[in-house]
Amino acid sequence: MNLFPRGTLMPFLFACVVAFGVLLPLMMMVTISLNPDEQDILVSMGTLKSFIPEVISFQNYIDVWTDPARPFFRYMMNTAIVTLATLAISITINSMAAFVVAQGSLPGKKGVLLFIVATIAVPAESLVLPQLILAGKLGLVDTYVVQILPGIANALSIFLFFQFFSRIPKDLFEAAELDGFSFFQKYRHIALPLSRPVISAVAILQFLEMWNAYLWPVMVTRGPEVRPLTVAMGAFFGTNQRIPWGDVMAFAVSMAVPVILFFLLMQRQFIASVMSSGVKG
Amino acid sequence: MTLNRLAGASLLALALAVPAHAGELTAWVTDAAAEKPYFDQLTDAFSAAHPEIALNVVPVPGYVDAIQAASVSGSLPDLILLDGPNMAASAWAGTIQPIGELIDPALLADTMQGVIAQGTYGPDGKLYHISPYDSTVLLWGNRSYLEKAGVRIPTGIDDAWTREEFAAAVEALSKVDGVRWPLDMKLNYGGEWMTYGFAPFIQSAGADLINRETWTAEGTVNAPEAVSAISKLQDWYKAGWIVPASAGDNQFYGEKTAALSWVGNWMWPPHDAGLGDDLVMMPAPSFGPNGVTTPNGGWGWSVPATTTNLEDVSAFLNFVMSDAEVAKYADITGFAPSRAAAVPLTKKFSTPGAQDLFAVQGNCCAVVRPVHPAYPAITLSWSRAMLNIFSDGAADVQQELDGVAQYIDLDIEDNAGYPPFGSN
Amino acid sequence: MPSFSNGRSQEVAMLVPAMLCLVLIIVVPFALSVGFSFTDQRLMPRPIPTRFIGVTNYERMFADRLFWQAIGNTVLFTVLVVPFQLAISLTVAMALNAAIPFRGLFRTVAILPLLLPITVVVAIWAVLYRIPTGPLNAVYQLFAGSENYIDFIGGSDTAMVALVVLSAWATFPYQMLIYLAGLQDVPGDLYEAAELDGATAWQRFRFVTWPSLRNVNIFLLIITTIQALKLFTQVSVMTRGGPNGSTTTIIYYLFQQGFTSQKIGYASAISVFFFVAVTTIAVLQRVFLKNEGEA
Repeated sequence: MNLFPRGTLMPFLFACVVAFGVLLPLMMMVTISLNPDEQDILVSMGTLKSFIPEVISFQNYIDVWTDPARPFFRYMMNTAIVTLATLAISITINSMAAFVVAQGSLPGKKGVLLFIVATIAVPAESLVLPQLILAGKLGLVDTYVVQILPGIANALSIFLFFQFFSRIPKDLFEAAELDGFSFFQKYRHIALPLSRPVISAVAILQFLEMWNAYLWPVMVTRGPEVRPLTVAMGAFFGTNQRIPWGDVMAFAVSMAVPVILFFLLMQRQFIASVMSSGVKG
Repeated sequence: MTLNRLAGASLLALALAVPAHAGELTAWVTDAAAEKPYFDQLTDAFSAAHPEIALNVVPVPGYVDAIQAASVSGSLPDLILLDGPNMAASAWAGTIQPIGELIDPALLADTMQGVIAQGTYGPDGKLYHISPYDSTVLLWGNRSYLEKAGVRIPTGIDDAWTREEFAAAVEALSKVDGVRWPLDMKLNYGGEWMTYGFAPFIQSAGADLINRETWTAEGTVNAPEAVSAISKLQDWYKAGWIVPASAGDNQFYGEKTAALSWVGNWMWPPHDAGLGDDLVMMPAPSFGPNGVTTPNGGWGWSVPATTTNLEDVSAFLNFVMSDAEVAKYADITGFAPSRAAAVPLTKKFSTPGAQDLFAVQGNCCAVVRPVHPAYPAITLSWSRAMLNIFSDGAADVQQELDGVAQYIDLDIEDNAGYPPFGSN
Repeated sequence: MPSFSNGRSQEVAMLVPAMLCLVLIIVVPFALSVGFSFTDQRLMPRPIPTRFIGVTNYERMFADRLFWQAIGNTVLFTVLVVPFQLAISLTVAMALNAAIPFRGLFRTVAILPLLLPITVVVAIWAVLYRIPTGPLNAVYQLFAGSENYIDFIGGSDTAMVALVVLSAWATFPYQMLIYLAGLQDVPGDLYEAAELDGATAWQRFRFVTWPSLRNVNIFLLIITTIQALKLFTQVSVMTRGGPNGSTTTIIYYLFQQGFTSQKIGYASAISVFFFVAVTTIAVLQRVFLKNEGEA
């Protein structure tokens, strides 16, 4: 049996290098998180001991899960609420708007489309300061709403839906009209059920964005009530602190594991969706 | 115009912030490692003394950004911890209120002068900030390294190292086996430490962060004395004698690759644990004609202008400033108690010992950081300059300090001199 | 609304929420930015009135050494990370597109970094880069001797490179997946024809794979560039803009000026500049790199 068909040995070796490059840092993260002795962590950094656990203790995990100053599960709930709400609202309102632009009969549709395309390139980060002032004026600072709003204003997501909806054959809708479907019903009962691939593509893009959100939540949240995990993680690196590496890594692992598990379950769809999000761009 | 209306709206938002109910108090504190054990027990201790008031102490990670976000929304709690030198800016902006009348005069009577000075706002002479502790900076040493290097160990202010002696000691220590860097100056801290810990060198040399009469920085912060003092330290950095920022916190007390550490008294507990009998406490060096010069002050309690349940706040302030609490704070954190009556109650400060240096330096040699609304601009530009000077790439000292002077003076000009400060 | 049929009022109702959000989050803040940039607006209220100061903020900005340093750093980061990250992504995609054993498993592993939030990635790399002992320095010391080390994030020559490597590690799987999709669209008979002509592996890549990826490359070039220009989190958590300002990016400088120093007016001038610059770059890339099949 030939394990390596012609021309696949080099790619295989390269894939091994990549896998090591990805897995070694992750193994280090897990190993450090299992070591309860801070001094030992520092001493063994740079030796094999920081990649292969010598002791297995969940003390760091217990510490970060029960620290009242840094309520891990509260942060996790905040992240989940903000992310899920953003995804749900964003997909709903952006797909509706896209359907109007793609299949509606409003005058000025072209202008709306132009506006949306122009907005895609806008770097949201350049607008955080006026957004902050606006949020302060509206009394929204330190709420879930203020973290959700910027995510649902998403021109790229409207555009991806628009591309998809404009390719749906017209006769599908004409048949529905004969059955007395209203415009909204055509969207709800014909277009939406067809758009699972684009929904998951948009959802994944948006999830990655929310999951990495840092600048905005740092500016608009303070106490643990609404702060997301990312900001709590960043705060470990604040000034005047001895960085507790064991806790940091236990926090990191606790944060990453649910998402990785979810990914492993949904892997096929995830890969397909990301792959479909770019090619037609 | 709309911008003014916008500013008006934020004021309105401040005024509308929901006041806490009587019998309930929320206090925000930092999550700094040294203070954490004290704040962890504060709720229980306070409830035992005042069962009628429900106190909620909230440690906030990323404290400075969080306070900023809360200020924008006008949603500050009843009490906040505030870093002392930032008091003037908050008092000027009207975001905190005077607290002198909320505290028992007997408690204030024996509070250290430096602590009162840091909490008192010049224009109205009122107290806006009170702290249970005072701080200072020492030169901590590793006795066995010092002895191997044959370096003289000073015992008091009078025989503190001079600039030349300090330089000679650092050089001698650099040659001792096991010493990778002779001096740890806590560059890893960044932020306010860079002002707190480095301004004393230029103050000792005869310069200052700002001229405290004219409130201009040009010619003071970039005076030749300042440039020469900082350049001296930078020479050590360039020689590889100062622990770089990225080496982490524990080179002196953990890995023991540093022989000296220039840091405040909050590191006493970890230093003690790490070095034990090898730990030496030495006075701050005399870096110039003004002799030994040390920083002081630190975080303390302030009351946002929006707070209305002042009776409860008063009970809280009198509790945290009581003899027993001030003593407890000192024992837990390693900071020096800010009230004389608390000293005999402490374990760490009641008997004579090396820690007497804390009080000695606080009385003889402390220079309060400028109590002026421009302080945030002062410390921001100064600490950025220090980080640039003590980093790889070693920025030009003169150019950096000129930049600091320009930045501070421009900030003061942009704020019309911070009236009433500019008008005298 | 009498002039609208039922269908049209439904259309309006479906369009309005998304448009309102875009206006509230993008249009209004941009207008505010432009407005603030001509004033000395502060973040917090202060007891003196906010004034209209003309183009003073813009004059200061163009004379501000730190502003230009931030621009330079941002451009440097972008110029380094975009080719580096795209090259890695494409190479990995080609390896994982070949019929290698355990291909599914390799793909799963390669995607993992994308699932870690950037703050976690920073924590991991902060350990890898540690001095004087740390995994990367341990490797270095095998060659250079145990008393030497490289201060990756503390060196003004290395800090930016350290951020580039970290950032590429963190997000290359996204580009890799898009490349994989592109590679699967390359018609197989082109390779067969090339092979019949005796083309080397390099020639097959140069004359078959690369031209077929044109549209994918354009798409990835644009999004990776825009992503790179917005660099903030890694800087804020790991280097705080140092050493000696060498990693202060434009967004980090904006944050420092507008949030930390509360100078909304001045920071607004920077945002307007950044906004215009990024939009221009995006439009230029779009104009000069037309997709295949477009006129």
